[in-house]
Amino acid sequence: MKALLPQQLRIRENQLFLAVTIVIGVGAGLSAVLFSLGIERFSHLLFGIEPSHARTVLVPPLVSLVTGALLLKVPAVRGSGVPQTETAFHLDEGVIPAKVPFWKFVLGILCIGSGHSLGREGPSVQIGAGLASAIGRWLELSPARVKELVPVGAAGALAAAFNTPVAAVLFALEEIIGDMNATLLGSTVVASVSSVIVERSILGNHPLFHVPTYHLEHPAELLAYVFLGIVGGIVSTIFCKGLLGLRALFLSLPKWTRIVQPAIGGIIIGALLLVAPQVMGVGYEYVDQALNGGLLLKTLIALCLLKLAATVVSYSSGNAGGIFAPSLYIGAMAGGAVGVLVHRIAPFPTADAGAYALVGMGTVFAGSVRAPMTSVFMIFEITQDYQILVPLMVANMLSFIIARRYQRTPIYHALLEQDGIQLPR
Amino acid sequence: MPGSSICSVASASIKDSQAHCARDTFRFTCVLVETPTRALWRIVGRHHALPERRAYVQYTGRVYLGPVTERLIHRQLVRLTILALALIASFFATRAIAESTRDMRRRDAVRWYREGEAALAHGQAAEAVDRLRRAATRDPNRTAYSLALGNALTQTGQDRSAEQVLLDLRDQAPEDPDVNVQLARLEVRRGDTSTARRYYQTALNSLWRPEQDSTRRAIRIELIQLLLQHGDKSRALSEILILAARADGTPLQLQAARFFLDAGDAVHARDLYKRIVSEDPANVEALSGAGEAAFLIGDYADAAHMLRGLTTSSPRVDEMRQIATAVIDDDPLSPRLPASERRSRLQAAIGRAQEKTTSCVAASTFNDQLGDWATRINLRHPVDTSEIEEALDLVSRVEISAQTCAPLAPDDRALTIIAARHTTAAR
Repeated sequence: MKALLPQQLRIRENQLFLAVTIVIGVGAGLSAVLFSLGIERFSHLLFGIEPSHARTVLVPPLVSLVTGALLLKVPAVRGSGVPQTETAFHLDEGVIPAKVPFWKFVLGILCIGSGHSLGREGPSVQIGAGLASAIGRWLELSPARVKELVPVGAAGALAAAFNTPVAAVLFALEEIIGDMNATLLGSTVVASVSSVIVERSILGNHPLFHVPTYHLEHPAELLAYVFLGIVGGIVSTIFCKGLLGLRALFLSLPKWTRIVQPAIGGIIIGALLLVAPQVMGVGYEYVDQALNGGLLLKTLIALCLLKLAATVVSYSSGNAGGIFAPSLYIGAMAGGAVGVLVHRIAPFPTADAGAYALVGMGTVFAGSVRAPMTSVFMIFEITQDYQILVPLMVANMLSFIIARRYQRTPIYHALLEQDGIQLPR
Repeated sequence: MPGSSICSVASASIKDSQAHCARDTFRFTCVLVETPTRALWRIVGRHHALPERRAYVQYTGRVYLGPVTERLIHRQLVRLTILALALIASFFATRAIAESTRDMRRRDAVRWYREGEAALAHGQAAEAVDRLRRAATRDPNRTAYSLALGNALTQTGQDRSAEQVLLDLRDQAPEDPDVNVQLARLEVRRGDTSTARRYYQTALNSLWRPEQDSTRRAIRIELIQLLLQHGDKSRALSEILILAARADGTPLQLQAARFFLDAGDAVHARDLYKRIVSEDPANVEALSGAGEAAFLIGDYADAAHMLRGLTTSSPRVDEMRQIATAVIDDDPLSPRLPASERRSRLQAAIGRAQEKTTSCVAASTFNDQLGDWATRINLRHPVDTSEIEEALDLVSRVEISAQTCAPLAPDDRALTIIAARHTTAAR
């Protein structure tokens, strides 16, 4: 047998890592697609096309009873999945037990499919990262390499879940790794691209939202976007504080109540869905309507408040699901409402309310998750429109600053702190 | 053998590993090589602390890998291959699930679409938008849903959203006639005629099935009406020519001929009207149109002929008939007229003009001149052609001046036309 030189070994190892990265990108993409399809089918199974009142009220608490029991066995799959992924990367050398992605997949489908106001992106991130970690360990890679695969899997999953490959890479760098200069840029890009290719080849290249081309109608309109940035900052602060406050309350309850806590959330969600079925699940179709200026002022305000309340309840009660999509939803509604008001009272020409909904999405995301670059690029990737970039950056930065002033710790870190975990800064 | 050479190097550089090296030389050589993977460490049965690893890594050059390491790499490759195969299988399974989910969505979309259309038919546009939006979201590949949504959005005044829906469709099928026509109608509503025209023309120039001829014609008619409405007669004419060439029934020919008239092409209009008259001599609309076209061309004899005896409800046609008849009957320079008749017609014309000078102050300045001409004509036998033309020119000027007092009667307009015809001919 011919022996290998160390240099050859290094080359082989790099090639192997590249191949593993591609495999993880594909796997993460497939998992995100399956997760999304699973939620849709389960929701259809439970609610049908037009659910009766009884179904609307009963399904969330009943399913949550089941998920509550399951969550006791795997508490790591509660909530979003992004904080857990960060913990795995920073504190656990990238080790995520193989059961975590599996149960996250199952419980995520159960929770979001049963109408809880939660997003699929956070769970997708944890599933993708968990898969990557499991694959890395199965392939007997070194601990350093296993750790490196965690953000790679997260980026791949997010790219497929949101159909925004660049924003997914930035999210992995900005949020998971916490370093925009990370050397993992190449690997995350490869995973993100392979994941998006898989996603598009299965679901087709349909944009998540159909957004008209918006632009700044008048230089003075930037003032309106400044106002939107302030509103976004306030809304994201209320969202974070509400979420953390109610979660603290649930955590302070006796341990034996953990099994029924998701169901308590389910009861409240069932009642909310009766009033506003639009806040059910991910709710992107209503975001789409807001982005097209198709909702009235009253509806926009009501949906913003109800979605905020529903998400706070669903998440705090320990259900499995993310806050990525809800923050976009809340932002779109808040932005749309600001847009309608500005359109009515501004003495200068202004863009449609849809433009404000679009920027509003970014402001609440930037204010709560504190990933301003991801936020800007995500909106840019959705719209593919340079014209909106300037107002978007202005509003995002303002929201970011205001939210940081009143809620110093970013939401994902604050959630970990509630669980007694401190990430290195 | 590569193993032994490595062992000697390793023993020299890593002091505390010598014992292990001595005990299991061959396996330890594997550790010595810059092993990057945890797998390799595990194989040799040791987990080295970081400083040691760094020490190994610093060693470069002539270290060779033993067969155990190669076996390890092969195992990783085998596992990776298994993983890849599993992913390929998962890919196809996911595709199958996605396809069945799409089927589910399609079924839902059909229901939403039906409900949306019903709501639209009952005038509940907002309800229709909601239902059709769901249908279009569930089955984005079905153009009909998005088109219906675009239509419903337009009806609720959400032009911008409607445009976005239609533009998305247009991105998928740039030449789809339905999409282009809807976009054109949207632009018409918004007053952007040139963009609307572009969309209409894209729709008309795209591929149509033979059974869609009537739809295509209707769209062309819409475009012509738009162009005429905005005074773009030259573009309208090119579309009318196509419409006329493909007009295979009397109603359509009549419409094309009317468009020719509206676009100012009386010659084509008359030809088309006459073609209809030749097939249906009693067609009042064709006769009236032919008369009107002949009148506009200046063929008053033909106009009078076509319009004579027609009973229409159009005051315009009646006026044309009177003018055309008067132009023929009152012209003193008509060919083959006896001299007495010429003089009598001229006298009648001067008489009408004199009435205008008394009834209208603006025309009164011509009173003396007309008086002179009346006297001269009474004295002259026969009246000279050039004199008749001169007298008619004067009459015409009187009539034109009198226009400031009151609109001209058909007979008076006939006199101006007669004068103009002969003055132009003389020049």
